[in-house]
Amino acid sequence: MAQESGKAAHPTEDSIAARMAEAGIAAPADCTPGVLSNLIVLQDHVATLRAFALDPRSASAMRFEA
Amino acid sequence: MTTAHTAPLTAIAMAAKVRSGQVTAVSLCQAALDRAEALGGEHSGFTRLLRRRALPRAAAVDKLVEAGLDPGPLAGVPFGVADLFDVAGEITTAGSRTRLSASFASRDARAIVLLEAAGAVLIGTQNMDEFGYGFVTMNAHYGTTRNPHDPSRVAGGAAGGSAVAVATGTVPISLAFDTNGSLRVPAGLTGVIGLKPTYGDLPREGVYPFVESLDVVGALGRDLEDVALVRTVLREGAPERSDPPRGEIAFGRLMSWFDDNISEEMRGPLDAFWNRLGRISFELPHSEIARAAASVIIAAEGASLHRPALEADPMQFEPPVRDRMLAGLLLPADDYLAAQRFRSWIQARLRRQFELADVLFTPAAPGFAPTIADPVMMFEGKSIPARSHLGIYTQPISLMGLPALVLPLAGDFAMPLGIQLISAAGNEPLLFRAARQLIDKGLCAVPPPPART
Repeated sequence: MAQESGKAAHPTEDSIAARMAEAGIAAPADCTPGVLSNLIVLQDHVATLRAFALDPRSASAMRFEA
Repeated sequence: MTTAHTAPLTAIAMAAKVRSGQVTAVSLCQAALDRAEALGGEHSGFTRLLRRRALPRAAAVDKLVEAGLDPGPLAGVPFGVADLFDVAGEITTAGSRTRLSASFASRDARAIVLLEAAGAVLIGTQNMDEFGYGFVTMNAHYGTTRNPHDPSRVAGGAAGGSAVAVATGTVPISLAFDTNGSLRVPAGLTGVIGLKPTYGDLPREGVYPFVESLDVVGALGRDLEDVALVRTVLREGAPERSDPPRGEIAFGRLMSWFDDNISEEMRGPLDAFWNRLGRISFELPHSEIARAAASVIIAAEGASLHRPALEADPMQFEPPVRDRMLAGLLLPADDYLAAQRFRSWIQARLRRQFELADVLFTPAAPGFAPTIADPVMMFEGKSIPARSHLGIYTQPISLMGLPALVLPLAGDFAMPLGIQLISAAGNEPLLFRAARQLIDKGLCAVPPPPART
């Protein structure tokens, strides 16, 4: 079933294993739970970012000075 | 806190004695090396002592003095660097065993060159969290650095070794780095002064990167003027961006994100400090989003930087660092770009914030240093790992690129408590003037080095 638009599906251990393989990383299965919990935290951060609707033209993503 | 020693000499006082011939640079460096050795790695903060390099250089400083020449404003002052500054002829480990077979550095990092050109003498490298990814300096490969005020507690991190080397009085100054609070958190937890400059203000050449869009070189010290002098030396005479405003400094406490999750032991002293400064408060809107953006940027850039090592053998990394970096590798590019876009947007908005207050302040960390046995803290009512969360008040400031100065609150507390002063970008002279005012008013003070128990 399609996800609600803009809302990311939570990763699973299986999806983590598949994505790491696609990324060319051969990490033992022991790593998967730790990667999963970290990715879920990052997804929460991403959700916080996405909830703030910043027009992509309102600021540059490539400016590196304060 | 444990019984205290008297305050050691400042770097400026040491240099004055060397320049006047009252003491030799060799004796100062020998004493610092001996003290670091006697304390041992866990307690001194040092991972490597560079006797064979340091003592001839100190002798060269003494020869200049004997010849009637001036070795510079830091003549004979021993200092250390976090183990991600290149030191010629040494491996820059960045706290990771993945770099054990890396090439030797061919030259010193620019910041080391500049301090030594001013007469200072590098005596060793200092412990850190692996690649700077953590707030506790509990390194599976190079050991845990203990807090000198209570060795059962963490020093904070990532540059915990650099803070401890100063807090113990082993050296008066350390060079360190700050990505997301890396030197500000340990400065707060060990009771020393830590400068995180404006992004891009101090030279990063020869410093092993972690997150290029956030990394800065900074300094730790026990004395405000020492830290200001190090900054001056590292800036090589670059003009200041702006003149600090004259007259009364307007302080403001940041609320909301920066007022949530404060521990009981911090809240009372922080409120008392605020009362003395006039109880003015401000909001720094979108701080939570700033922290989220910083976390995304760190994960993505850190993972990208270390991708070759992760591909070669992920098991060489410490498990917490490895898992965070592997997760970072899986982030979509769009999310990283959104975080960078938010960064630009909030930096532009922040310029207006400082029309209302000159210096803003927050806690440097939520409370006392957590214990090594159970390194956790409370966040939103839950017990969570301190390794990833001690920098909740420093992270948003990093994303904004602002300068910050951490000072210990004055008072008889069981452990040091630090506050973080923040100014507009490029306004470090104002930060130093504000800090001097707080010290002179008795609101901030660096505790003497604790005696070993």
